[in-house]
Amino acid sequence: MKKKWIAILMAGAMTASLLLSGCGSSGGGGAQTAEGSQTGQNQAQESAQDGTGSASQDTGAEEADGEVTNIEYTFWGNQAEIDTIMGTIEAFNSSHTDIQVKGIGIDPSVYLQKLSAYASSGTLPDIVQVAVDYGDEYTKKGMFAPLDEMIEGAGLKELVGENLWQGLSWEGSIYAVPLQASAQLLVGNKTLFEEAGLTFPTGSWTEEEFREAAVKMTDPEKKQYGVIFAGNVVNWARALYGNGETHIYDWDARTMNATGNEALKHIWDLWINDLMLTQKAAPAVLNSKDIGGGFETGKYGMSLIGYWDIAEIHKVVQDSFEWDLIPLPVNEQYGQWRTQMYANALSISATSDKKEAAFEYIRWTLENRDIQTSSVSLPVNKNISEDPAFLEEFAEGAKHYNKQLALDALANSVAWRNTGVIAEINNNVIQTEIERLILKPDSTDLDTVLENMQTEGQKLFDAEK
Amino acid sequence: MNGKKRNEGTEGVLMRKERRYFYLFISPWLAGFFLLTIGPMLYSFYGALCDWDGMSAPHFLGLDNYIRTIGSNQDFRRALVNTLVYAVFSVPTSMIFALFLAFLLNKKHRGAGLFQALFYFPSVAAGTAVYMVWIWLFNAETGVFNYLLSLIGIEGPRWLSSTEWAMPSLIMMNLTFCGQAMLIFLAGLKQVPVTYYEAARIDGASEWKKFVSITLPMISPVVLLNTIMGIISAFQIFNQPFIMTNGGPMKSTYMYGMLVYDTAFYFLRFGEAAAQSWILCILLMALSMTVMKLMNRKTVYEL
Repeated sequence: MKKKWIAILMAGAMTASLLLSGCGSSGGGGAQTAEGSQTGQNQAQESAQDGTGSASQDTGAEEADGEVTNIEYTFWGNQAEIDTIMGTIEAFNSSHTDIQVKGIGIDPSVYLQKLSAYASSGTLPDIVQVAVDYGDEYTKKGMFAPLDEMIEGAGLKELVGENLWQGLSWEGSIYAVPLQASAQLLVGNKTLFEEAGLTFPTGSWTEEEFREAAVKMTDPEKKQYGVIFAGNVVNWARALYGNGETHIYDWDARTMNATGNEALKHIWDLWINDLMLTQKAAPAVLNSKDIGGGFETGKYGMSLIGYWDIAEIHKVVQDSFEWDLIPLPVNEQYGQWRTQMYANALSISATSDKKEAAFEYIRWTLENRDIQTSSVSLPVNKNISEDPAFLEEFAEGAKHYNKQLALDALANSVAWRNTGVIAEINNNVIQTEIERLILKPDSTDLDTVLENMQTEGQKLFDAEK
Repeated sequence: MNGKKRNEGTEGVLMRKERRYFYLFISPWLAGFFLLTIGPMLYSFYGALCDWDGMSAPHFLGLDNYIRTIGSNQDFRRALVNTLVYAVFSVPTSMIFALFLAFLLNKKHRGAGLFQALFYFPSVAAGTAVYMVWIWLFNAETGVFNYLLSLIGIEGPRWLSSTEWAMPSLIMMNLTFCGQAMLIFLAGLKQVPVTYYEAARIDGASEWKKFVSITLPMISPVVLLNTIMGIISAFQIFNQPFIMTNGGPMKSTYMYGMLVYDTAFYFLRFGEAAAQSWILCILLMALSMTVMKLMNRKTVYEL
């Protein structure tokens, strides 16, 4: 009899542990006091390390008397970013007695999967961090609430650039408020410019001047190239001259625009046929790792980078060579090069019953200078970004660069998409065709590549209808 | 008579009691199996018949996902062929290498235990870390392999960024993870009675003859097991190409697992991804049964 009960207890314990192990470590209910914030951060670190990828922290008071509105906010980030955002949440909670925010930090590699899980189970947190390239897909499904009225009512419309609002809109309705943003940039190695007898560009310059500089800074003996594009040769070109007539597709109309697109043909002709394959002024690779590294190696006169790469490049380059941002070249016919915008934005769940409280947090982050300037991206609040003092603000030990050029690139940046059928066209059609042109130039040509993109891309659009 | 009936009765009670304990102890596994394996499998079976974006409720479509995958998805064919090529080359090479290592480690010498651990270590090390090391080894400009080749006057290929060499690179890298198969082979080798080898030695058999006529037949069940496990593992490959090549260049290493992942999480077609998973499941079942049927003729289970 005793043995029977021991056996039953053991079986029960094993079953319970099996079931509980599936619950994971994402934040459940319950409150933590401010002292618990360190525990919350440790929890974030452990779960980030063990790959469950989520951590939560409720840094505020319990909803004891019904006057406090508790809202949940999910965001992505590595450990340092999670810590930074948890810090801002704590600052908000300390300064607001009527609204308390509970942050749920999720590892970037699993963020989209978690978002899908939230959406399918109907448990989307009140505030959801989204990005330009996929926010529309969720908005299309009715996951996020339109924010136009709240934005207008709070007077936020004029605070942020129009291109950012457009990038975060779906069918004319804004679904997210940008928190920080950045764009892709052109950087130049001042030492190589000098060695080639070239003036380092700081003002406007043309595409032809860019091409000449790339060719002059190329030295095959030293394995030195004038410019490196790597994967950007595919992504940038799609909307280099804007999201209008020269864009490779019209995602609203679900039509491809590869053939007959002279701007698109021109830029790939310049970058690939001319600079990569003929002049050998750019390495014919799609990943800088394939050629031993990127701009930081000092082998390239110019490079296309993300704004977020500046800190990493500075860490590696240190004093080995002088470098800075370069203005994006101007084509006389099509205008200045425009790069993709990368905006971290906050949406409000359509099913949230605390939209006003959620928007209050969003408005606070947009207006708070410390938060706007605390990340690896640029502030979207024009009161801050257009402040002359901001241009000279650099963290201690950080690289001093021409910040105005970064702000200009952001102001001129374009929205992009990379989910659903657009992702399929980007990855399976455009990427593959450009890879073929670069790696097997004898087997194809640019006209054939563009025709294939047109045909195969349109097939995918049509299949979706 | 009464004594016999009493004995049979007692035995029946004991058997029932044992059966109860049996089910009690396997109940945790059964609960996990039904909740975490069968349940999701059944849901994915239903999802494969639906238009499902992973966010909203699935809408029944019938066999459209299967028809679209097999009929018009070019990447399906490409991924399947790539995975088949990978399996055809990686399974035999890793099996031969694992058997070779097991054969060497089966000899009694000092350090055998240490070498066993060393060869098994990559199988338990964090996969991503191992893949990053291999990326560095394969680097066309700064990698160790091309450096060693340059010492003998050979210009190494671009390995992971070459359409011709990317797949062979992944197959070579797979040899790192033969530790598990090696241990299973080693266990099989240790079970071969020494008397057979002694008898063969007395009869003047060569080492090769002993290997072919004694070792291989005696370890054939283990070979069958490793073959089936190797095929299943090869068809489910995802991490290596995802991290090392991202399916490129030009989709030359785009594997079936990546197709399912992209279809679900990038293209937001969970129903089609579920259909692709079921197609793989059916293919693997058919393949495993075929391999078992073919190899069972040669497999010696007992003498």
